[in-house]
Amino acid sequence: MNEVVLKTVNLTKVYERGGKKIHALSDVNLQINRGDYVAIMGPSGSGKTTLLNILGCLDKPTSGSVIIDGTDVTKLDEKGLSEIRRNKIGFVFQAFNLIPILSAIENVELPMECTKIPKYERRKRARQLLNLVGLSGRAEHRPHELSAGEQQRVAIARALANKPSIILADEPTGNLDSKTGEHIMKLLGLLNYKIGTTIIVVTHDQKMASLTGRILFLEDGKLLKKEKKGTYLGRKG
Amino acid sequence: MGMLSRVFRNVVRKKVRTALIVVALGFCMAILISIQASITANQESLQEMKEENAKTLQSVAEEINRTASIIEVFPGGGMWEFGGPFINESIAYNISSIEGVEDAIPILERFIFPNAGNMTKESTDGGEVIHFMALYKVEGIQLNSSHIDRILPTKIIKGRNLKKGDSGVVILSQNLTKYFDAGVGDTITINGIYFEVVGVFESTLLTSRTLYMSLSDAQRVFNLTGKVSKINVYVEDVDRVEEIANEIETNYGLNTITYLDKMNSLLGMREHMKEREEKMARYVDQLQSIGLQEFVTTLTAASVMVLFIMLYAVRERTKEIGILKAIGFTGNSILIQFLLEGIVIGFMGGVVGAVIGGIATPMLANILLPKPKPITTPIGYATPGIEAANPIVTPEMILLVIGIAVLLGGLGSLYPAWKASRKSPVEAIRYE
Repeated sequence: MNEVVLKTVNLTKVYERGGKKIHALSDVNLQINRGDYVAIMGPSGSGKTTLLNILGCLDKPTSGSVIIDGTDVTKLDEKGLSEIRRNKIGFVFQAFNLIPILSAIENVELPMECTKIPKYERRKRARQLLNLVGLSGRAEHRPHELSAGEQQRVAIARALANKPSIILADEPTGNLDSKTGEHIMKLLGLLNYKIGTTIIVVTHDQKMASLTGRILFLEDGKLLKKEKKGTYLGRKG
Repeated sequence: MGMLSRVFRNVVRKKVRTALIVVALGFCMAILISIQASITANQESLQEMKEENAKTLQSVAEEINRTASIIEVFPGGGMWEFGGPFINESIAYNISSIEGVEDAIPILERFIFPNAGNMTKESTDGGEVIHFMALYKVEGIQLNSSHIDRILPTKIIKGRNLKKGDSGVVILSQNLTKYFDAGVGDTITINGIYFEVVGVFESTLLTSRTLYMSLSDAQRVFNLTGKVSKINVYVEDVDRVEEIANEIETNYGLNTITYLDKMNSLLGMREHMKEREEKMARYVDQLQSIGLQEFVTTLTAASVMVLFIMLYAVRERTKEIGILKAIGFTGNSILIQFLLEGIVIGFMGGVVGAVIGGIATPMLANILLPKPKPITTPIGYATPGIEAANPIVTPEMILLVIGIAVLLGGLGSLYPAWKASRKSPVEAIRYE
């Protein structure tokens, strides 16, 4: 029996610009099972990033709800949302978004700073995660000393720091060449396989999306009914 | 990697900017130190002046009361103390036979100058200053009198006091033992005549450079046989002092100083001291008022500076704030981080301010604060005008200024920090 880790119910986001209402998302009903490696595909402006931001508790919907691990996060206050972001979600951004003054290992440790994990434990875990993404030799390097692919791997290790239920990746290959992008997508797949973390990737790149296990389509803020299977077979495959 | 470590790294990330703000803040703090140090020093100086004046007035008043029954008799006219006319010693014996007079002690009081009789007198902005170049004073006393204990010093530290029949011996004030480099049992020379030191007495305000010997010895030293410079007349009944003084003046053509004269002089002295105290107090008030204005201006400038720099830092790091929020940092922890950054900058500014202040306080105080106005004093009171006290930087002041700088850093970054903590993560991450 598949366990639902994330679910949206009639998720809607409306922006107002110059007195005009723009429906970024309309009644999106989505269900992701624990351990899934999913891609959400859509053209530019289809609402992919808006959906990801709402799923990641960075933004609030106009209506509808988001349920993560049984909790309706749309009802949470700022403190509760911070907790969800800290404990349930790991973010991977297109622009990597590492903190420039911190080394790779310090960037990975950063999310753990808000938890009760002891300092030595944080360092140990950060090192393990860097090993996992194949960057054990680059732990003390600052972001500007790393290649784009390496920076994205650090970002992935950082996203895994607090053992989240879901990793949300917004165009994680957008700033990478296709070969490195493919490696990153495969790395995410490998992590999903090894650790079992649910991964949702937003991309407009069909090739990258095909490397996941399940592909959903978003168009004009609406989730299409059609779904595709990717090449990734995962644990269940 | 803790928050503090991150705070320090962020502070040093923009080295030039941090250095500029720290130095600017440091200068503001140095100005605060200078103002405070100058005001405190002048307040202390005023307090010291008041205490010293009160002490002097009290000791003079006590001396006047103690000598209420004494008439001091001087030769008529002239600067008698510096070689003017003398009184014949025999007049003392005539005065002692006046009815109501208990005793009359002849005294020869002479100053020893490096160049005999040399005295300079000059005028300054602060009033009239007279330099008595005397090295010390010789007081020859008729030791046969029954009242010599009223004239001789009372506190003998070493050796003994002078006594009836003494000759060829002196007692020195404690200060003069240094000048002569001599103590009890040693021999000193005055005008070529040898004397043995038999005692050392405790110096007082009036006797710090005095030595005592017998009248006949003093007359021999100054070649003034049969002459005295003053006679101390002891009256049996205090109420008759004025009457007997008048009689002496009329019959012998001499000048007298009585209790009433001394009291008038004391009142004059008190008025003069009061005037000086008031001028100093007005100066301190002026310092406080100008200092307060400069204090507020400096404080405002420093706070605005910190506020703007921190606001700029927050704007510059908007994206970073968004990332921190996305990975689970709460608004409060971001607020604390920015507050701490402001506090660290404030602390650094405070330390720099303490260093600059410690070195440049006198110069800064000179530029920033007014100087006291010259005081005009009545001729005859040989006192200089008031002067600005040198500012003194105390450890308390340094701690206070570092505290103010830390507070400024904290307060200046409070609004920017709050603004940072309230940023929407989505908008913050999109910020470029």
